[in-house]
Amino acid sequence: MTTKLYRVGQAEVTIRDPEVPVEKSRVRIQAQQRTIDGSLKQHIVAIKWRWRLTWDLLTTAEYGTLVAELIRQEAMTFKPPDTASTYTVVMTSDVEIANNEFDTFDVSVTLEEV
Amino acid sequence: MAQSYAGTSLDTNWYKASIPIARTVKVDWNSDGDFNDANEDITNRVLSLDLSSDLLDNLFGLPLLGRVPPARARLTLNNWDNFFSPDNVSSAIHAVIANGIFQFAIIIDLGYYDGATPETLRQFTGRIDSCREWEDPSGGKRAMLQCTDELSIIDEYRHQTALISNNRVDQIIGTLLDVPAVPTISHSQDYAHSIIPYAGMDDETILSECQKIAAADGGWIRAKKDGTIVFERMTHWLEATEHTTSNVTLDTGKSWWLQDSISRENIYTDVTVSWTPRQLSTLEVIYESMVPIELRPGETKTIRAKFDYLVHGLIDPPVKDVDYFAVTPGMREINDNLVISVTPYCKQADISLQNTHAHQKMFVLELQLRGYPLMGRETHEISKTHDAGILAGKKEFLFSQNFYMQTEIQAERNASFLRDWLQRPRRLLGWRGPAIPYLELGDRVHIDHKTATYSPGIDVDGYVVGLNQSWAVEQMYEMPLTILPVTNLWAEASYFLLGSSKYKDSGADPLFY
Repeated sequence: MTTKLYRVGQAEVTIRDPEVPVEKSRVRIQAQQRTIDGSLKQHIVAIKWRWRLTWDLLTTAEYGTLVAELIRQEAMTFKPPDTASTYTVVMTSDVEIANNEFDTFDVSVTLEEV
Repeated sequence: MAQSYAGTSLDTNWYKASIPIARTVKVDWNSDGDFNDANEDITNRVLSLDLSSDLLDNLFGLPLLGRVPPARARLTLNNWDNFFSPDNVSSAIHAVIANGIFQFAIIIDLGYYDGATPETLRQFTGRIDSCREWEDPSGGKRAMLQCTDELSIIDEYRHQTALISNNRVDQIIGTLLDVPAVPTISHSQDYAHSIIPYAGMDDETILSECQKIAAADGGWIRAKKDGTIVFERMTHWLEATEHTTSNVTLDTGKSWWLQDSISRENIYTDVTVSWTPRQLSTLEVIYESMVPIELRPGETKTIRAKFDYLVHGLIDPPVKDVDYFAVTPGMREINDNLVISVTPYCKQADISLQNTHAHQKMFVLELQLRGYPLMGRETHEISKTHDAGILAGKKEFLFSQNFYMQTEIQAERNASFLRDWLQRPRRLLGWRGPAIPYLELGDRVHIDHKTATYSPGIDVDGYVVGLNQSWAVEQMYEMPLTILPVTNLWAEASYFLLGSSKYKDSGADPLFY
């Protein structure tokens, strides 16, 4: 398993694998409307991936590598640990950081496929 | 007419419980007539779109008579990289949008996926009128395109013609729609009922004139979704299958909003139509130059002569010693050194004057043009009174001041037709539901909402007289319609049709007005 996160078109950056299980979901970009007889209609634009990732007890070096990519304000290329495919993603949550004892760090973030 | 959906499943997919939306939006940035070049597909930048088209004019209501407003499209676009910003020199389309985004051709295709296959139909063909861009911290950078359908090509196109005599309405409209050379207009016309004795344009816009000419036949012109401009005659809805049989049934399982409205606005007790016969007068001087025209040796000068009347049969070229005198500064006659030609239009002419003398300055004196002015005779009126007896008092609809209403038969037909449309209160049904991509304005639909109003509810056929579409990310692709029920719209249930009806003693269909 390898996890990568880097700027689109730039050099690949390998980050530490997130904690398992990797929490991911298929997001339906859609709308719903009930008709006069009560039946439901749904129109879908696309279905995209969303990942909720957490890292526990990152070392200072691992933390530095990860946060350097997470603070970028642009679309990123993401290779999840459980697949060989890559996805263009953006961060849709705050990057939550906990600074633990002994210079270790916990980080969590949500990525969504563009 | 309804668009063909042959080879697709759009006729059943539009009301499926769950279905992906298919869409394509393209702009011809390099104006080469196709939409296949780099950056011309902007589909992935579209955040929302609204399309509106109406046969009903908000101001004039049901008397449709020519005045179909152009269809419009409004698109909100993601402009996160300033792609649509004229000042952004890094934009891939900067070279063509540096002066702004307008006049570019745009097409919008919408539909649904059938499995993995996108099935779309053309929903809008037109031109971009304007682009507005804005930015806010929460929404980011956006651009909005405002577009008008292909009628925009002729909306501001002013034109002059010579006097056209004894042409049918569809022939005149066809001639005028062929005028714009770039871009050429795709058009088709119904065979009109009326022959207009005299027609002509004098710097009016082609659209406004075509609307008047169409109205004089009781029809209208409009642009279809594919960009074709059509003239539809008064009997159009009585003839083609998409208007005589329902294209789709809109029941409660396929609708999420229904409105029933009746307005006094569209009911009249009387209709009065005026017409003015025109005839050519005797040969007269229709233009005189009040000042001498000076020409240097070898000089060519063109002057524009404006007339007070429409004119036919201009004497061309003007006759020397009758229509002009060409002299030297010493008043020596040099008529033979003047080459004169006239390009006539119905209410003006361009006169080209060339002094062929190598050394002598020339003065052209008392230049005049002669021709046959078109004179309007007394205006006549034809009035038709209601026989339904529904509206008390008197409320009169006037159709007047249309230059092309020149014969009694036009006035009789328009007055009778309008009386039957306007003497009864007309329901206008508002409907919303999933978009039906193949519907066009004028298509016949069936409304089956027996539960939506007081028993027995609404169970009628109607014509689509307003057709809008809207879609946005995370909103339904919906189609608000305005529907005019067929009931009592026509004086008779069916009419004699050439080629399909038979003449017989009894049971034959009546003739149209």
